[in-house]
Amino acid sequence: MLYDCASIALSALSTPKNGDTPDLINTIASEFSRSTAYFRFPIIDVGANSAMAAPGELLYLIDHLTRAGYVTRVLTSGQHFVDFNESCQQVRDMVRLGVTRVILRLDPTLVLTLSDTTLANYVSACIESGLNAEMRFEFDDDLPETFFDIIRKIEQLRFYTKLYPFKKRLTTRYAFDLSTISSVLHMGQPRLVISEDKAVLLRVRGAVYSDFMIGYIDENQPLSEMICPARLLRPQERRL
Amino acid sequence: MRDLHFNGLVLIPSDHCNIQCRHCAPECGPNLKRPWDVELLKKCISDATKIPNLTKRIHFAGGEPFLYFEQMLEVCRHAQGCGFVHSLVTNGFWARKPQRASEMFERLKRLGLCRVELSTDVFHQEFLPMWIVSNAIKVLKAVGIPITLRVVTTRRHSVDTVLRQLTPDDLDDIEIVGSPVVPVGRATYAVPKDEFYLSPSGAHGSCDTLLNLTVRSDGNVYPCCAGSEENPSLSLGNIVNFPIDTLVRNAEINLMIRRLIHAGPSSFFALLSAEGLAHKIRSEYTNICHACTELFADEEVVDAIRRQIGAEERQLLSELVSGDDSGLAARSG
Repeated sequence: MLYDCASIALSALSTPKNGDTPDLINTIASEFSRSTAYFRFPIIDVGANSAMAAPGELLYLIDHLTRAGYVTRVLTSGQHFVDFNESCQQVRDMVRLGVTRVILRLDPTLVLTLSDTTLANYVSACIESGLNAEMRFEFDDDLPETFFDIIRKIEQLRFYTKLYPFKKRLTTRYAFDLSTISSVLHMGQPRLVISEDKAVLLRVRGAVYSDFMIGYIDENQPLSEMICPARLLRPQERRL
Repeated sequence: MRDLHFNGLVLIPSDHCNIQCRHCAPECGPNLKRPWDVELLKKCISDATKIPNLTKRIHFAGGEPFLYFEQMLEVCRHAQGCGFVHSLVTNGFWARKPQRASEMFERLKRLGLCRVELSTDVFHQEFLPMWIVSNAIKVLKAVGIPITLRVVTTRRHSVDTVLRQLTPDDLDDIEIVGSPVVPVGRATYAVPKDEFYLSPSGAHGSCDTLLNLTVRSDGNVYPCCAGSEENPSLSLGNIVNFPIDTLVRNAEINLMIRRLIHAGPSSFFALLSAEGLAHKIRSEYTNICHACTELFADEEVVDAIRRQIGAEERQLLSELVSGDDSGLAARSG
């Protein structure tokens, strides 16, 4: 198993044409279904900032990934939970297709744009579908008062809170280099990331993020071939 | 019938704890010294490898597992050989001596430790100040072990009041789980009643995705570690007498357990009302664990449920004899 798990920025796959499902979603879902053996945990986070901006495509992708044996989690800014009934239906649809967690992804700026009603709709929709209300909060150096405010609001609505405060990291992207990639994979199991600019990256977390480039999803090479051990590992390290 | 799925094997080898928190459901404390039965635990883990619907993760709960560090190492070594990773919950008292703590966690990490749950809240802080928790976070981050901060909250003490006592660097990249104090165990008499969160919908819901196969220090096995383990009426049997995989197979056909898990404690409310026991049902509960723990601790309630389930089982048997098992699926999920 080469990779820990994966993240997909939905916007990288979304190039809607007259309401049709983008071909890239079909292709990527199908490529992931060929790649389950490469993952330690078959978990895919769909985001990056708000996967719910394209609800039709999101459901389509989730459905295909679930069928391929992946567990999916959705990251959202929460801005789309404007209407109570629609919010409940959106979360219900995602859960029906296999989503296990719907996580608010906020930062000191985004949190200011989330109204109390929208927050309450998100929490209620999660409760109705048997999910926890969860929040990832990215911050620079200090945690603002708004972080503690929103925690208190969630707690009042749900009694339960699940939080992930996360200090923003400097991210350095490295160009493709087989020797470096092979070493990275030999040392541990990085996260496979498809970023908003369609890059396929191996992400190593530490005090900073190191993203090692292995290709682009709209290149001719299929993803399953792009990420397979035969391409990325030197012969002596292929026993991984 | 859907199989029961267990997210892990929870071992509660001792209720011995160095502190005695007011909210503690199993009422752990310093006077409950009990050495771990290491051989029994090792056998239990070996038998647990035969349970197909169990995630291979062991979670040490208690009691405070670091009071029995050497025994824990021995059990972890065996568990790793059986293909299990492990996690544990602790109050972090060991962080008074960070250097020694680092060495202990390096050893545990080599044996498959994948997460540490640190308990801290207004109750724990009556014994352990926050600087110890802050030290504990630093130790675990330095060793590279993922952390979950477990915070029990009350109406007066919300989760943010605890988090404000830690630095942004402490809080960076850790999972924080806030959950309300539940009025069971010591909390029923040591926590003021107006501190509890209660709601008319508290008893609604089910726990079929939240199960953890739980083994107590006396060898009794329970379907979860969130209150069922306080009720002998919900025991699946004892590993002293039967292998744990046998107990799980038997649980699959235990209609009372299955209904509780798949339909939740509120699914028994109509039955209890029909039996003249409506007064045993509260108008508000904190959550399904509160309802479950309280109802199944009441002998009269358990007798009534068993009578009704017994009648259903007899009906089921007659259906099975006649070759029609559709009723089983309808009743047990």
